[in-house]
Amino acid sequence: MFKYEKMLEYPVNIKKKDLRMAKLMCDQLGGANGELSASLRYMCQRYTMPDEKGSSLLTDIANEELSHFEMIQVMISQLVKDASLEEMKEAGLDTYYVGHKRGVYPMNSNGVPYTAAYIEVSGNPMVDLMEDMAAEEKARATYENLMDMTKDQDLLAPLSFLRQREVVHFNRFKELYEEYKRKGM
Amino acid sequence: MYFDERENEIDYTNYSNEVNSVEKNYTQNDYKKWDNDFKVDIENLNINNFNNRESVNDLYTAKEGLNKGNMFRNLFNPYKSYVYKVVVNGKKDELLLKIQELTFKVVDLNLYLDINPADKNMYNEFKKAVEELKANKDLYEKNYGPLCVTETLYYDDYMWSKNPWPWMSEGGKK
Repeated sequence: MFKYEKMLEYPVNIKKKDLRMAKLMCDQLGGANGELSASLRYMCQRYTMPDEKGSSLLTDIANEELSHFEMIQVMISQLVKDASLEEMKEAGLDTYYVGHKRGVYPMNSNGVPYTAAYIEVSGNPMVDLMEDMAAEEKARATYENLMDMTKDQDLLAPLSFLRQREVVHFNRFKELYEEYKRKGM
Repeated sequence: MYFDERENEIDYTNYSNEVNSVEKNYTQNDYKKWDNDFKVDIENLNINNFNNRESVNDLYTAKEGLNKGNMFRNLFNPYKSYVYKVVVNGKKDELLLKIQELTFKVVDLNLYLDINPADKNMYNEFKKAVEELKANKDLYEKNYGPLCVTETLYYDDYMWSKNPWPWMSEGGKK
């Protein structure tokens, strides 16, 4: 079971409204390489890991990704806070407003709703781990692209943190993959 | 340049003549203009570089680790050398930050220990962080309310919903 802790993994405190960035950040919320994808992917793949190393690594990373999902939500909600209708229209968020007002809906930056088609559960640990490594790299690249799009330090700091986590996760998956390979899987 | 081998009808016998005529007609600088098939900016391409794995036990402090997003020196890989420092004001937020730092250390060592369960040194480090985290959480719970719904033994009233939620920070204007 899961327990909620009333804090973020890394503090988020964005003071400057930026609707354009809020829209772009949606890619990491409900996009193909986003945090929701990551969390669900590992959570669903863990049942067919061959040993306790795989089961625990996938469970723990899935868990951490869910708290990243929360961080992205908080960032988006703070970025759109107090936005006027006029501002939302200008940023191209009028189409968003019609369905969700100032809520946080899991979709990508083009408004495509989140779908489980973004993830794969093959039942084969080697195939799944290879997908997980690719997913971490794609998420890392997306964070770099997001960091290129802003100069706001309040936003860059958590983005930089989240990006670095992808680096660590990638390396852990790679270590596990190599170990399984050595064992002849 | 796109080139489909199936429709390969270049007559190679004339090829050297062609090159010679190009060399005669173009100066060095013109070559650069001419060579624009596609450009890959290799210097600015970001590649996950794998540093040596020998110094696995070389850890950052919990504070530095949270700032960097990584406890392990050998895995740290910054983007455009961006590194940020978390700064908070006030006793409550400082204590919360301390808890976040220690939680982060526990989370990151946890992932390492998942696949290296036999590493005694790291396990001791992990245990030390958990112990310190527990003490700090207890202090927070006593003074500012629960972070977890079950941390309620110091109170006579239901306190869980009275603390602000994480998105209600200063930036969230609450």
